[in-house]
Amino acid sequence: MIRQAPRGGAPLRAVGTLLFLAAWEAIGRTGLWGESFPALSTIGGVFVNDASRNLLLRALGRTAESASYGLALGAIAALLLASASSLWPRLRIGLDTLATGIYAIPTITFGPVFILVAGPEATPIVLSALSAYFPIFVALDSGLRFAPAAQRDLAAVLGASRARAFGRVDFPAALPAFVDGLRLAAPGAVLGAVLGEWFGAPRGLGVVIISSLQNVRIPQLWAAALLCVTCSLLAYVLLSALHRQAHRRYAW
Amino acid sequence: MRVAGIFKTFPLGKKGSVRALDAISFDMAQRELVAVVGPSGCGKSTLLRIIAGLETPDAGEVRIGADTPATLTARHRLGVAFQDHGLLPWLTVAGNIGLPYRLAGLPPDPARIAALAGMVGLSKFLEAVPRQLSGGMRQRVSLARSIALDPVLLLLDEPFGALDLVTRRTLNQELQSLWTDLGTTTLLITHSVEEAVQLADRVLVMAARPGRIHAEFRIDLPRPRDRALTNSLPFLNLVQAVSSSLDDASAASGEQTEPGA
Repeated sequence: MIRQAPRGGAPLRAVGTLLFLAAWEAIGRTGLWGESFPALSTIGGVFVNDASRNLLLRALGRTAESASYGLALGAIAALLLASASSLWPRLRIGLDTLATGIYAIPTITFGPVFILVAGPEATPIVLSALSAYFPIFVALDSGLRFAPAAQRDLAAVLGASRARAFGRVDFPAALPAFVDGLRLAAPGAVLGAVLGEWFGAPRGLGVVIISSLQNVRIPQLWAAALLCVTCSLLAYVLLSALHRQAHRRYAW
Repeated sequence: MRVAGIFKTFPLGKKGSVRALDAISFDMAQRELVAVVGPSGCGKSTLLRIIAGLETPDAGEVRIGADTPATLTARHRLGVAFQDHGLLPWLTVAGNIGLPYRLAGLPPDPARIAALAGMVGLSKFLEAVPRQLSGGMRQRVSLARSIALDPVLLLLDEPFGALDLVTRRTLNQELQSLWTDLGTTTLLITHSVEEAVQLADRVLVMAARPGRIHAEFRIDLPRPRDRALTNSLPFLNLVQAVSSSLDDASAASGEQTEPGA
């Protein structure tokens, strides 16, 4: 069930956001938290400079591309694992353990290994996929396991094969859960891509963040970080809209 | 159909177990409509789930002609409608009525689907999705779906249980000719004595804890059983007799929890 925000919440949200941004600007301008916390206008100034803007937008494009591929690969992996678990229940414990075990590995420790194995170009995609697949797997697996009992009984009584029941009833019923998983995984996919870029990828916001830190370009560092946040939020908002659509069509 | 010596016990964890069904036996003739009434928790739905092959009995067997529930299911010849209509929200009315074809791996028959929609009064709603329908209309779709593959045995588990009284009476009036015309052997589980007497050829009254057959009533009233008949003295007398038996069954219901080992 989707909970609707209370009516009249939009103006309050807008006021809250404006207050937050104004406080940030004031703290940055007065230097209250030191030089490492610049004003928003100073960070925005980075985008006025053509060279800096082009650098950041190219990096954003690269990170968004890696995160998109990572999210797609993570979704495919989650889809395969959850589907296999649903179609062959005997495999469920093993597949659950495999999925949880892989997710439990701290990806940051394996970053250098992936650089060697997958190469610097592919590492952001690999880490993005590793960060994304688990929330999608958990959401889809739950959706498949807890399909409405009446629908499941109906398929059983009508003598549907497991594959037909899966394709006609279980999977469509679990689609809202799958999209919910995508929505929750999207910020993780961006984080995974940036993490992968830190380990030596040639391009991307992660590379800009590292180089800005090393060269003490504080406003550029903040601009790159804020672009990561924007990218995550945008993906979350877009997938939330898709989730509402899926819920409207595939759930009661 | 023959139900012979069905026993079913459910575990209650450390509290032992509860015997849901105790030596349930009855026969049903071909084309007969038998209604089962009983107090809540008497095992009516468990009995239906066993006959549908959704539960396995601890002892006893169910035969539908030469078939077991499993073989009848494998031949796609069992029809069922539950209190929860179980319609798929992403399919249209036509898609939902035709779902048994898809699940059985058969090509849907649009003419048959349209005819079924007509039989339940939904010809104009073939392209509507369930969200656009009232509760009564959703149950009509569920009933049309239950007979799509021309079942040998039709199981109805409180199909109108979630509807208001007026809608329920209207549906019973409108759809009783459907059952008689189809001539499908039908087992109806219901809480409503009036509904049971109006629709059935025979009414079985169950007692609870453990679930068992308490009494049996043959309903020899003429068909169709319209408003005039349901207001007649013979009908009301039968309703009274079944209701009294149901009261006796409720009074006779004991606690049958068996302690754990």
